[in-house]
Amino acid sequence: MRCAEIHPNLAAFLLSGLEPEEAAEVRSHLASCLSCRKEFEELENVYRALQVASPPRPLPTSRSCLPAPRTSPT
Amino acid sequence: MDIAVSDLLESDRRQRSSHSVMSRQADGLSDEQLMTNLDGPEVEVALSKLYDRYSRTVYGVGLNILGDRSTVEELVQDVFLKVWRSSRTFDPSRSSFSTWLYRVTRSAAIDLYRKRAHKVHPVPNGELHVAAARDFSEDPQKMVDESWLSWRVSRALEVLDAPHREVIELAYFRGFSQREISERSGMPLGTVKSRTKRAFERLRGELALEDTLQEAIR
Repeated sequence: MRCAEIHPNLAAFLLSGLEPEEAAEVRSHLASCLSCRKEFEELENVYRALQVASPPRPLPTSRSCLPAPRTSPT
Repeated sequence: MDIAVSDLLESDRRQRSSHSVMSRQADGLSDEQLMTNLDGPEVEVALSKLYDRYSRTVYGVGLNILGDRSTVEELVQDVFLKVWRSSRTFDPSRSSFSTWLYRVTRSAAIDLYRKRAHKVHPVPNGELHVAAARDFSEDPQKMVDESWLSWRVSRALEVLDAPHREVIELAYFRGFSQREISERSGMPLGTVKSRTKRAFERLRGELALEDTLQEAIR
């Protein structure tokens, strides 16, 4: 496979989100292509960083946890 | 009586409309400008905007340190109370708002962590257990490093646009395959893949930008 066909799949490959045959193609391409491997390693750093992030939580609809505004001196 | 009621409704409508105009205007303000507004009449709008922009990040980092959702809710409340009360201690020439807020969050989380570490809770079966806080006692630096990275990643996710953030949420945090995301969203598979890749590239860019900013303020 050509690099241009592999590139869009790299992030999905990292996330284990490809079908088994696609994943095998990416794996085999990475074994022989230095430039794609370099690109993959860059994305791998982002993946590692994501591992310390907590899952996102929706914003609460209520602002009840915010303090009431300060009363301005009259 | 009818006049009085309609006057009240009109006054309420004007108040809501004016609040909504102020809120829209505040959308365009930087974090630092909103901090300045905490000292003025638009305190409520300014604090709400900062809350919208940062509460998820505070929550995420809190969860990373404390590992207990109910304590983290308490943390979010403590942090925004401190932002409001300590707004005058923020100096934009010394750090960005994000970095200042990270320090406020970390310090508040450590306070809660210490409290929780010594607290025992009765549970229904009559035994006692220590709340599920993470144990950093042997390596406090690890907590500092992890919480800072967690903060930066959370901020990077926060500034991604909605379509890119969504694919990361589905693919990374919820573990869906690219095909499953395509089927759920109706997006062509090729679009899901290229969006996932683009989202990673944007996160990489944001994380690198954060590094540069940090170097600049050290």
